Amino acid sequence: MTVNHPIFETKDLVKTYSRQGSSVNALDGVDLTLRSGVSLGIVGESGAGKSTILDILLGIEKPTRGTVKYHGQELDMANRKQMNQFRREVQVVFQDPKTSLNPRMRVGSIVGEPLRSLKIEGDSAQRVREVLKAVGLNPDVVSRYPDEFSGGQRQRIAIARAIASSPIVLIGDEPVSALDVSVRIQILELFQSLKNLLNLTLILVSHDLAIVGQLCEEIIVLKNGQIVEAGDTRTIFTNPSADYTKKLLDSVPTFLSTYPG
Amino acid sequence: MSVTTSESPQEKAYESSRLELNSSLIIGGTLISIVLVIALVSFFWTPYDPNDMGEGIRLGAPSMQHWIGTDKLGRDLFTQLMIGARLAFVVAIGSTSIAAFIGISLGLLAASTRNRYIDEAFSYFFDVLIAFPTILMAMLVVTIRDASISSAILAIGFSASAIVSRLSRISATSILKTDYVKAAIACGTSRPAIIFRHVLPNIYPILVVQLMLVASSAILAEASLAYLGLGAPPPQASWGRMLLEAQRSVMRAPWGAIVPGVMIIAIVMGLNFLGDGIREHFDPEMRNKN
Amino acid sequence: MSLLSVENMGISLVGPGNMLVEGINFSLEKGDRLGIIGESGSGKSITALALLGLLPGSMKVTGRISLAGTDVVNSSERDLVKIRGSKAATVFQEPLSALDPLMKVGRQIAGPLKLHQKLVGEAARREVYKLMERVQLSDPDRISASFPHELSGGQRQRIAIAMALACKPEILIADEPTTALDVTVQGEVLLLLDKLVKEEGMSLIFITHDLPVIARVVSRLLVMQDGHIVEEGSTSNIIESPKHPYTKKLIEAARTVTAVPYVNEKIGKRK
Repeated sequence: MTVNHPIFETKDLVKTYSRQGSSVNALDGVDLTLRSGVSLGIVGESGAGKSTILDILLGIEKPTRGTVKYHGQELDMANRKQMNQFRREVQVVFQDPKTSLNPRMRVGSIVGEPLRSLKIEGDSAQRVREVLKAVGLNPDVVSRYPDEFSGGQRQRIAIARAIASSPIVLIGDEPVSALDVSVRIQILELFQSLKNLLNLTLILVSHDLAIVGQLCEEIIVLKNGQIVEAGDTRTIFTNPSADYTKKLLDSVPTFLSTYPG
Repeated sequence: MSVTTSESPQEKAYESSRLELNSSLIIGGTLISIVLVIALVSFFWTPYDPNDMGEGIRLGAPSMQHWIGTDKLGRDLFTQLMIGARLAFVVAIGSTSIAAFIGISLGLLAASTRNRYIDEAFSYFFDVLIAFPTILMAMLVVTIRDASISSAILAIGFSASAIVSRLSRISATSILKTDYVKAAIACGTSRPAIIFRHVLPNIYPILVVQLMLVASSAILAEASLAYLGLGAPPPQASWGRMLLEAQRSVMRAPWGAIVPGVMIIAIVMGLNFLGDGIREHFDPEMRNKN
Repeated sequence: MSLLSVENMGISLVGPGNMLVEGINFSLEKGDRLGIIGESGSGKSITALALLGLLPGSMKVTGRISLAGTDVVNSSERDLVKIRGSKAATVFQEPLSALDPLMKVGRQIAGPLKLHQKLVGEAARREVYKLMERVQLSDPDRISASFPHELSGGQRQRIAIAMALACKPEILIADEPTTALDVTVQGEVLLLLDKLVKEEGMSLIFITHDLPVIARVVSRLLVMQDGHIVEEGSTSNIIESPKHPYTKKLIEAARTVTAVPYVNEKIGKRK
């Protein structure tokens, strides 16, 4: 039996932005724990604080107050050694495949960037081909440019880049929202299979309950920078306690109501 | 809040225009090529020696021997024109290089600093420099040093670097906000590497266009300096000085003023068209990619 | 004569003729609710733009579009301006880009009123307030004096709807009107559209990629793929017994991505 040690642990996370005199708390006291093997979904609408928490979990922004611990140690952006290890292990896939890939870089360089920047040993060209195959793309695409591909394919390229360093945590920021519906399923299935194959723990940030529910075992509901409800997916979906959660569940469109006539 | 990707056929069609040259590019390219050829040929051959006062026909009209005529000292105007073309290009390239080097490095520095105060300090500095007229700057430099080509190039280059740095800073800032830069940070890419690998390749079209404009205004600036008598002294041939010298006799011998004037217009317009053409060429692409 | 009739419409790029959309045929009667569903690249949005002659100069339209008696393809810009807003109005996906960022929204709603009905001053103001009430915007004083960026997405879209309704058009063309909104607001705006279309007796053309959304609002569906209509029929027919493979794929996909585990799982595609 494996011991589930927390990968991430945040306590009282607060992030304040000041704009022209007034200050806004994008995050207002967020506690979350990510345990190995237990994928976490962070659900909320715009202004909930999803992007802020994402930036903090990625080590791109520092919280105004509160702590973020990674594997029990506080995350220190100035600690090069820690950040190098951290970045190998925690990777991200962004929402819009049109803007998450440098339009002037070839696919091979894009996917190989983490290997280069994190100075990962081994044959990078080989690794790049490996991960491209793993996401269902022909490895020969390395010499092409992102704009030659469709949205779904570009998202696969982004995913390939994310798994190149063999991470243990994969953070997805609305990873399928910008894709066509028929493509979403494929990418979702890709996430699912990679999760199993590579033993990844996912953090999925999204407004879409259906997507989050299909990939995550635990869910946090965020509103105005605060956690409204948290717990395992089954409980939250079948027995939500917060009104806001109920409201979110109600707004998931279903096929049950079609226009009469 | 989902957004549908729209790679509609019309956007794919825009991409194919990448390969076609637009009219501005052609016009600009032609004008510049003509002047460039004249300048290059001048290294190997000119109809006369520039200082040859020859048969002493002063202010001669255009003829078979002197295609544009002669100046007040009997020197062949066409020869002066050719050598002046050389100077125009030297000034254009020199000033633009200085403006590019100083401007782009300072602009990128300002954009990539996380310290808001440094960024603001740079901005104020650029704004002041932009407000300072190029001619005045040039006059200042020339007075401190001497009237020479290098003084002119330095002054114009320095003055133009302000606009280039502001543009670099603004474009770099917007690139630094993109998701792919965020992804690069998440991949552990260092700040300098981000600038070279991600920022520069994505801002250079805008900068190239701006530098074309810098080049054209550099030529105008040099001509103006020469016209004011602050340019490179004789025997260096300069279109601006040709204008100055032709001024007094413009009623009797207009060709002495018209021809260098036309050349200045040609090269300035050529560079402007080229700049427009480059912008048009890249614009649909940029719209497509963003 | 139909309110809107589209015959063999095609859209292509001027120059090397890249056909973007081909062979579009459909008609709309008064009170009809038509949905056009398709993914990116299907041509659904440019089809909608073509109905009011809103395509950029780089595209040309062939075929016939007859909207409330006007031959759209062959009309001049002046004639088209007369029907835009008055005979047919549009609501687009992104209210921020449909609204003028530098003008207070009250004035923007009054715009079409002034243009088509020559309404100004106090009469216009009263009409604007009435419209704001109809789109369920409370506190009309504050909102009409606000700029678009000061309002929420849902409020902005309601303003866009108010502008569309201002001159009581016969046809409302909505292109992804709720896609850019928060999930909890989407439902409200959809209900609002539904209600207003019914009350005004307008015809509706609703364009989206989102099948569950469109199913609630339209009675007839056109499925577009790669610039062609691949299937058409009543909403219930298409959803319950789709015939074209692409339609089947769309429906299957929609069911899967809206299946909330433990709540309404339709297909057994679980972990």
